[in-house]
Amino acid sequence: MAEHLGLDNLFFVIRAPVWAEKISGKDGRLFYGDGKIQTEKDLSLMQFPDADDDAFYSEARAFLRHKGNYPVLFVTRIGILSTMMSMGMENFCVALYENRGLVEAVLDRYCDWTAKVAKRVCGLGFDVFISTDDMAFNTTTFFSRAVFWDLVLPRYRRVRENITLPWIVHSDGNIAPFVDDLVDLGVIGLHPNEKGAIDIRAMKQRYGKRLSLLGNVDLNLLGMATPEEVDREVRELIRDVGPGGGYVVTSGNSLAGYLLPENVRAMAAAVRKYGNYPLAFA
Amino acid sequence: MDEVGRLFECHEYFVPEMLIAARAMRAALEVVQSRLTKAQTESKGKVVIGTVKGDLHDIGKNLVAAMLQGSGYEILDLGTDVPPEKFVKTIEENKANAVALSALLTTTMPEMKNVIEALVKAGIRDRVKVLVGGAPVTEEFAKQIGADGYGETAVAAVGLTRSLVASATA
Repeated sequence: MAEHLGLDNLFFVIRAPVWAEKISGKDGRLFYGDGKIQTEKDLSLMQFPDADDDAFYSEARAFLRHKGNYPVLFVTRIGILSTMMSMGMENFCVALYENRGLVEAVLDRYCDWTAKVAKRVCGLGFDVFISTDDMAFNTTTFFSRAVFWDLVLPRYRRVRENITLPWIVHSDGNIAPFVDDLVDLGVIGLHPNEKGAIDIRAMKQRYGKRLSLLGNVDLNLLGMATPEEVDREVRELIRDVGPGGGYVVTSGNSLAGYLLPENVRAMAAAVRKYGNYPLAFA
Repeated sequence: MDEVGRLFECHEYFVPEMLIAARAMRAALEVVQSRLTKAQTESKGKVVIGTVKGDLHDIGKNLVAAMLQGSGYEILDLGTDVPPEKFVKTIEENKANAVALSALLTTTMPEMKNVIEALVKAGIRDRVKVLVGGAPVTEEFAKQIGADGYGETAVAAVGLTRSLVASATA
């Protein structure tokens, strides 16, 4: 499958549970509903799998044994997105002002667990550590940089001490206001640079070699355009973001079930066509 | 709420501050409404809102509903996964001034067009303003499907509702 899709890496996911209602949508799609952590009393619901138990990593070890020549990315969440989902977005927002202690208690539990997991998985043979906490809408971040500094960054620092692999951060939307802080924290890559939310060319100009950029291939194109349009999109991205290295071509968000297979294949083919260094555009 | 909107637009306020302000406004309105005359408490208009069929995302929709309610509109929130006929029925029964449609998925965006077509079929398209929004939605898409406006943010949706409803009732 990886070869068929033109992938040059694989990924393996371990995530902490989310304590929220799960709603089944069309075609088996899963949606999260109301968060279950509404008050301090609900904190007892947060029973995590034992991150100190060797058996917890047996699937990861098995995956790595069968990875062949592919590098493998380890994917998890640090915890701010899980906190928002477990509390429910509205309750989380209100609690930021009316019960900050509850938000901190939930986030602490996630971050403490992720720190343990990070310490273990970074020694298993993965090549890259990816954290996937969405923190932004199309236009800007969910919350202010002040909240990010006060609530999120100190806890991310605690987890960071255990991340000994190159660290890539994923967030949907326009995460740009937090990127300086993430780079200072030691993050080396940003994904998926969602089209319409992030100007990847401006990011390249601003961060240059300090930050690798991944993604930006428009999901709307992959879902609705022609293979020729996808080819042009990939070509232009490689032409503009590829020079000097530090660009990984991939979709501007997860490959969703509704995308057109021929367009995903066109993206892979375009990478092979235009993505060899030295770039033809130089 | 106008000031909250302004602060959101210049990135001084974010979603939490907007939600807190909208809640405070709702609570304040409940207190003052009992002391006002009927004419003084009349809403600025009725807005039917919902996430279109097949889509269960509701954060953006809830935020727009909260902001509209805080700005003085009566909200008829149909929730998520709403079929076109339910939008039509609610608009007809309540003589709504506007309908706000939300979608987060590229695959559910076409449902917005289905709602507009259902409004045309029911013969009420010219009586109601159609606003669309959601992460994959664009101004261009809104024009293409025949919507009256596209709101990139909750604040933009309030401004848009205000101008569209005002022009329709002028």
